[in-house]
This record gives sequence, C-alpha cells and structure tokens, in this order.
Amino acid sequence: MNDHNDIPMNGSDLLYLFLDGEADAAEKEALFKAMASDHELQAEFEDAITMRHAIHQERANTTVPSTLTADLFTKAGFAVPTAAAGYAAAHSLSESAAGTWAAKLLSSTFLPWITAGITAVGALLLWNTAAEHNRLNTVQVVTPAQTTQQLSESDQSLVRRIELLERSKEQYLAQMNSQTIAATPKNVYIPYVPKGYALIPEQDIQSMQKQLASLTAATENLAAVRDRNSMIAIPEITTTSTSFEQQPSFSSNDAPRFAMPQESPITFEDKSDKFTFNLRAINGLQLFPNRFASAPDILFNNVALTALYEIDNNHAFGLDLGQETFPIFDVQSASTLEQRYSLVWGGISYRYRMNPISGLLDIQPYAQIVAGGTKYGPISRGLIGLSWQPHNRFSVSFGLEASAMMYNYQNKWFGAQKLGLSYGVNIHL
Amino acid sequence: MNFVPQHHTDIELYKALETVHREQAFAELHRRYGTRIYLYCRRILGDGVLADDMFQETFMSVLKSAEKLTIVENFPAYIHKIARNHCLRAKERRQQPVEFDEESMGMFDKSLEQKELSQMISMAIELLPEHHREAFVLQMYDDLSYEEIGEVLEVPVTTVRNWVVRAKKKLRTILSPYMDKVRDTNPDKSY
Repeated sequence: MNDHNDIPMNGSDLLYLFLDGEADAAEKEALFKAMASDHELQAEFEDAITMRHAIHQERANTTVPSTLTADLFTKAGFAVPTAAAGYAAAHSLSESAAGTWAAKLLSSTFLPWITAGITAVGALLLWNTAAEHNRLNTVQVVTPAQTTQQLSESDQSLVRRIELLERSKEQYLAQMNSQTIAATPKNVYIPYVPKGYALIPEQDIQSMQKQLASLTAATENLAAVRDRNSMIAIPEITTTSTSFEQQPSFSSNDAPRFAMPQESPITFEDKSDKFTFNLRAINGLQLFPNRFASAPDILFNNVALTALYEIDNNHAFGLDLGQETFPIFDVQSASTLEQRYSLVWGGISYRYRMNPISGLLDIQPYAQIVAGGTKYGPISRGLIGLSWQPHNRFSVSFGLEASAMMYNYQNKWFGAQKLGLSYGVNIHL
Repeated sequence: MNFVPQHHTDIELYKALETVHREQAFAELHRRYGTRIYLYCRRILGDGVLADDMFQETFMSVLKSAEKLTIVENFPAYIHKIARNHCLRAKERRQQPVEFDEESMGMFDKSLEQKELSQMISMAIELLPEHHREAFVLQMYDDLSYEEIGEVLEVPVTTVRNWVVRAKKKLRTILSPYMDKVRDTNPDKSY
C-alpha cells in the first residue's frame, strides 16, 4: 500500500471520512447505501462512534496540571494565572513527590477495595475487641465477691473466705517461698510468722478442712453460676481449686506444715483442630470494568482453596490458591488485545474469626485478607462472611469477596476489580 | 486601549505577544491550546515528565518566535508543528519505549468504564505505525482538520486522509475483541 496516493475508498473508509466531516456528498451517499445492507459496516460505525466518544470524553476531562501551568508562566516571566496559582498553592502538598504518589494511589480504582477490606477487618477486630472487653468487664464485675448477689448469705461468707484464702496464699508464696509456716500446735515455739498471717490454733485445723470442703463446694457452685452466665474461665476461681490441695500436713514433731501448693495449670478450652481447609466458589456479582459476565467453560474456574493454620480460636494464617474470571486484557500478538477469561492466582492469607455468637447457632463472623499475585501482576482480596460449624470437623461459610488486581502493560499499570459472593465448605483437622 | 483577549483571533493574539499585551495574549493562547498541546505531547511521548517539558518548550518557542516577528497564517497548525518538532527531538534523544501515565493526566473523575476504554485506546494507539499515530492524534485529540494535519506533518491532504482512515481501521482491528464485549455489554447504548 502506498500511503501517499489517493487510494479509492470503500464503504469502511468512507465511514471514517464521514465521521470526520471530510466526506463529500457523493461519498456520503455511497456510505449510506452501503450501510443499509451491510451489518458489518453498521457494527464498525457503532465502534467508531464509541471510540470517538471515548476520546472526546478524555479530551474534555483532561486539564493541564496547575503546577505545569504555573511553571510555564514563571519561566515566561509572567504572573501565574489566578486559577493555577490558587490551585497550586492549595495543592502544593498533594503535588509534591509524596503527594503525587498519594494522589495516584487515592485516585486509583484499586484503593477502594483495599480500603474496604482493611476497614472490614479493622471493624471486625474492633468489634471483637470491644466485645472481649465487655466480657472481661463482665467477668470482673462478676467476681466471686459480686456473684454473691446470686448466693445465699452463708455462700457469700464462703466466697469471701475464698478470696481471703487466695490472698493469703499469694502473700505466703511471695514472702516465704518454700519456707515452712507453722500452725499453732500446743507448746510449740513459732519463731517466725509471716506478715499478714494469723496463727491458727491446731484444734482449728480440722474445722478449717471442713471449711475448705465447704469452700470447694461453693466454688463449684460459683463455677456453675459462671457457666450458666456464659462467663469465661476466671483464673481466680480456677486457681482457687489448687488451694484446696494445700492440705495441712502434720510432721512427726507435731509441727504442721503447709506443703507448697502444686499449681495446676490453668486450662482454657483448647482447640484440637489446628488446620482448616476451605474450598469455596466465587460467584462474580460485579466486575470492574464490567465487560463480560461469563467466561467460557474452564475447569475449576471461579474456585479457591485455602489452607489455614489456626494460631488460636480467632487468628489463622495460610495459603490461598484460586482460579477465576477477571476483566483484563493483554496483548497476544503485535496487533491484538486479547481478553483473559481466567487467571490463576495464589497468595498468603490471614483470617480473623470472631467467637461464636451464642443464641445464633454459634455462627462466627469472619474476615479474611489475601495478598498475592498472578502471572500478570499483584492481587489482593478481602472477604467478610459468616461460618457455621455443625460438626467439629466440618463447617460451611458464606460471604462477600472483593478482589482487585493490577497488571502491567508496557510499563503502565492497569487495574481490574471484582466483587462476588463466596460460599464454601471447611474441613477442620 | 482596552485589550480583551477573548475577542481576538489566534493570529491577533500571536501578534500581540510582541506588544504590551503579551502577557494577556499568552494566557489566552495557553487557555485555548494548552490542553490540546498537552494531550498531543502526552500521546506522542507517553513519558509524563518528558511530555511536560515539551509542553513548556512549545509555548516558550511560540513566545520566542513572536518576538522574532515570524509570520504565521494558521496558528493551530503552527503550534502543533512546534510541538511535534520538540517531541520528535525528544524521542530521538530518549530512544526508550513509549509509556503512558493516565493517572497524572487529570482524568480522575472518569467512570471506570470510560477510563478503561480510554486506557484500551491508549494501548492500541501505541501499536499504530508512527505516521498513522501522529495523524490520528492530531485529528482526534487535537481536533485539527486534514488540511492542518497535512501542514503540520508536511504531507498532502490525501496522505493525511489515508493515514487517519488506516489508523482508525487498524485501531478498530486491535480493539475488536474489546469492542465486541462493549457492544455485548451495552447493546442499547448509544452515544
């Protein structure tokens, strides 16, 4: 083809001349005649209009940066135009190096999803922290002394004795370590009595043992009350039981000794399952840009597999692997932009799961964030949802999953986002 | 005498650049052609910093040429020719791949769909042959007529016509998978 010649134009060529306002009457007539019966030409006309509109919109939305204008006028020795000067002053920070970076980040369509994810996780964390705080406050309020409101007078007395005994034990342990503490057997010289302790007459030891037995029963009652009130284990109460193992022992020299209490470890409910495997489907509700809602049949498309290690009941880390539809294009040959229907991605995952909501089937709200990559660029995801565990080895989950990825083309970064419904099953091992 | 820049033609403003009204005339010319030259430099050079430099150089050259009493008959073609010469020299010096920086082009308020379409077109423009790209950018982004483009590129109008048409056809071919989806997604959308 010789570009410098006036090549005879076909209907397709005339279409562009017409849109550019460069077609004469004969060319217009020829174009309209061709378009009347040529569907491909009609489609091309539509595409040309679309592209033209996009370019005009871009042109209309583009402005010369105020700093550039200010620089130019300064260089020319002129006063900076008011609008540019005002803008430059007002935005001096945002147009600094760091500000430019921040502006780019803020303007990126990538950010809203990151923000949404972080906000969701943050909100859940705060919510849970607040709930935990309230529970602790409740526990503190419902200490043995104050739980006594639910107990009889005699029980209240016992509870106070529990507290006194606990306090005494702690002081004793702190001051005497493993030293012997003497009771007060008859005619036995007591060389040293720790501060804060009273000498107990020997004849009272039997009585005290009975009291201790009563206190044990009271503690159990308290524990029952505590359990009914769905309180968490209270160390003060739990350790109290150890004090009852602190039985006075009598030596051959008739000098009773308090053996060192054998501290039994405070045990909390401990999860036996440390690993969770989650298989979930991701149903795309909305793609950004919304170019195609469905992809050709691809095996295992729009699914993800997560392997999580449970740090504790709330926190878990793991790996995520998935394949799903994403609205991106890339250059497959020198002249064609091809749509990528499906991407394989992988990443590191962190999941925060709240404590079960009692009274609501023990459903657990959770939030999860994933940072990883694809063949084309980085990807991040945020999930929020609910999980229900009908069996200790099995649970189901349902939630919203938002993901955003960036891909590079000729040193430029482009973004694509997706919002979807996520539903899956979890196996706990 | 009261000088109202908005009431003057491009040529009159250009001539005013060597008078006491030079500052007002310069501001008005910048208002009229700033965005177009800025877009041209960005589309041809891609590199934001370099394009910004050439944008400034273009206007500074206009100012200097006015001081030399250069005769100008078609100001749009003239200023684009200056911009083109600066961009070509910058490209020769750079010898690096073209890249575009969409985010810094003041287009933050575009919808996602619109933004993506602009991005796709930007990517496709880079795949066009050099002459076709120049003609296309001057025609579509800078609104120059075929005749003005011929003047800037120093080629006959018929050549411009062929370049612009070929560029657009090629662009459509490049974007065809994408445009198919646009049509499928928005079957009733009309512009």
